[in-house]
Amino acid sequence: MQNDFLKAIAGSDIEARFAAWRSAAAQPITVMPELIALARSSDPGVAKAAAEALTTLVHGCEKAGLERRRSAVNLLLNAPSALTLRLASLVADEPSAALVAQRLGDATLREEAIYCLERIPGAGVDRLLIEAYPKAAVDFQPRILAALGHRKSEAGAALCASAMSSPNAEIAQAGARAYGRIGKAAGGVFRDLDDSQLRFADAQAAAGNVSAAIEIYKLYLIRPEEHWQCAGIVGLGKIANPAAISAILPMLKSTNARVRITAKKTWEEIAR
Amino acid sequence: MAKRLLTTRRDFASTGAAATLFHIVPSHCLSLQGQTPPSDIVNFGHIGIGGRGRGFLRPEAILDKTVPSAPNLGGDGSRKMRPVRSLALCDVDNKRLDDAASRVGGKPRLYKDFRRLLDDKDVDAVVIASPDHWHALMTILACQAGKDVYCEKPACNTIEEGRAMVTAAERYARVVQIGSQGRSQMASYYAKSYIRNGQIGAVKKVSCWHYASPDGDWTPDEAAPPELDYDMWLGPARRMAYNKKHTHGAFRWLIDFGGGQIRDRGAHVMSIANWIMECDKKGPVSVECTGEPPHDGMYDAAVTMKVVYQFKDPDWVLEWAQPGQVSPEIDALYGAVYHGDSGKLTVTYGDGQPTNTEQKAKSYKAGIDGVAVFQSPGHMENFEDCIRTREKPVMHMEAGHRVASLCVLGNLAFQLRRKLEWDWKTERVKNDEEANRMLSRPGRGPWNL
Repeated sequence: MQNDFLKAIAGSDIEARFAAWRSAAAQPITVMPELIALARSSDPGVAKAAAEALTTLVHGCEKAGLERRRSAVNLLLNAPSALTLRLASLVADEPSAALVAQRLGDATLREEAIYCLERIPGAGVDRLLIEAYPKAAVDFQPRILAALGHRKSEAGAALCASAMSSPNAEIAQAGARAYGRIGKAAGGVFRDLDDSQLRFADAQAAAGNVSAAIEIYKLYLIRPEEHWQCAGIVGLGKIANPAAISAILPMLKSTNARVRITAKKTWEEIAR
Repeated sequence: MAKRLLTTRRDFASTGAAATLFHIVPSHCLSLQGQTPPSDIVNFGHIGIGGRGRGFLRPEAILDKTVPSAPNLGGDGSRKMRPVRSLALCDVDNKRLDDAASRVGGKPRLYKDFRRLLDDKDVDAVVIASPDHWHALMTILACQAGKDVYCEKPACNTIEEGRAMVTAAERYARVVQIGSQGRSQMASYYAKSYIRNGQIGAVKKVSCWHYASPDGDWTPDEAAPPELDYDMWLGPARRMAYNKKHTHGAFRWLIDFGGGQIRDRGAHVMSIANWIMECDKKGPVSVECTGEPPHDGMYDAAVTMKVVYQFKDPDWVLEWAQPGQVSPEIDALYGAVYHGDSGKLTVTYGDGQPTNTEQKAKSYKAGIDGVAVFQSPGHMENFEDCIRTREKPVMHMEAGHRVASLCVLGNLAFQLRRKLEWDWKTERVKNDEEANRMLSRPGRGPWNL
């Protein structure tokens, strides 16, 4: 059965290959090493069939129990490639993350490794990313910060706060963006008024730290650009306590029509 | 031509109908020697100007003239488009950039990096017609730069992208119109008025049909042509070797890039369905799919598929079938049949093809107490109106995200071959962790949401 399956995948009959990879979920995971090898075939039809069979097997693991899922992930990570890391990202859990993190230093696979880690849940993955940061190439450090931000890693907030003051502009910017996404206060100082700080304010408001959020939004009301003023108004409108409302009021008389309209709509929304 | 109905206050406020007020004082009355005052001219920046993007360019020669609205943008020619200047052009393909510049005439500002176009303070609004995998980041960064946005459909490639676009549009109070122009075509207006006024009873099922996606073949990878900045073309997408059958239009047949027919034309046909069924701010509770991928070749988007979406409160079913049962009432390559408990109605196309519906809907006129339906003056005209009024356009960002979500979830159910239970409020899959991981896509290099 297993041999017939692999023979079909490696064969030249397109329809036999197709039938094999569509039914691959029923195969034992022991076929995976050979499929991984076939996915590197110079025959694009065979490589596709093998890759699709692996994908089908991995999708089938979600509902097949933890043991089969972890065994499949181990087989994938023992043969690291763009394909295997992509597939592992769909079903791997925390115990497998250290194997993935080893690839962060591999220039050819680091992008796929960070994709994979970004998707695996668990505080242990946050720790692996934080530990990898100082060892990573400088040009890859912003990507690690972005991953921490995307994961909303509270454990990563201090690292991102520190990166915000880096003399390297790319690192500083990535640090600010991640810090804003995470939204946990950890001593970070925003250099510029921008979207990252507004995200941070949104998170502060959501966490109940309303006065800190209001102070940030008010900074935007005095910016010359109308869209920044609008952003300040919209942020204050979500809080809608007396302090926020009193900050919105003067904007109803703005000389800029768009700002006036935004203030009026926000005012009406609060009234509702 | 149906007369506009008296609208309710809510319709008036929510759809941009307030823009009609601007007809009271035509802009030319305020100008010198009959010319449009510069302050009335909207300066567009165009990002992505090959293929679809070319159709949005406004030649300099007609800057000061009103022109009939374009049928493929939902207008019927009965209204004049407002003065718009194609001030800035951007593309990662030099040949396309040069071609667009010559079409526009004059001296448009040319950019290869869209971020520099967004830095241009003279640009009021951007028209984004880049490949789909760029839509989200470009829209979000445009909102952050204070630009209003007309973005081609589908709005996004992932659920996370769509939600981030909605947040950006709301945070900066920007007008964002998604390019599912079927809502702005008269047939959709007739159909919605007919159905919302109970002429087929309560709608229980909407059956969409479309022809299949291509199988594809094997075309060897090659070096990217010198005129194309391929790394920038890829942007946030995962790295892959250049192949002419993956880029410039052909990206549609890869799930990671275009998502096949369902995400391309589904964003038109199902946009009309969501509009008629008033589902612009909600979604289905479950999604399941059967279908077949290409048996061979370089593409992976479903060749054939049937997706079933269950909606609750009210209960109805949306079906997407490629191929599907063509309506016996109107012969068309794609469209939808709306099945009510006392009748049915066909609406075809919904994109650049002229949308059509049955005569019974075209000749129907709601009574004075009937449900009023917003009649868009044309998709681009509606956008231009809303730039001035700051109202939400007919295909606003949340609506675009909800339609794209249908397309994304259909593909997800196809890939996983499992029924997905969808919580449309939290935008998470209730019964499938793997599916939840696929609701977002890590960005490559600096291109993160």
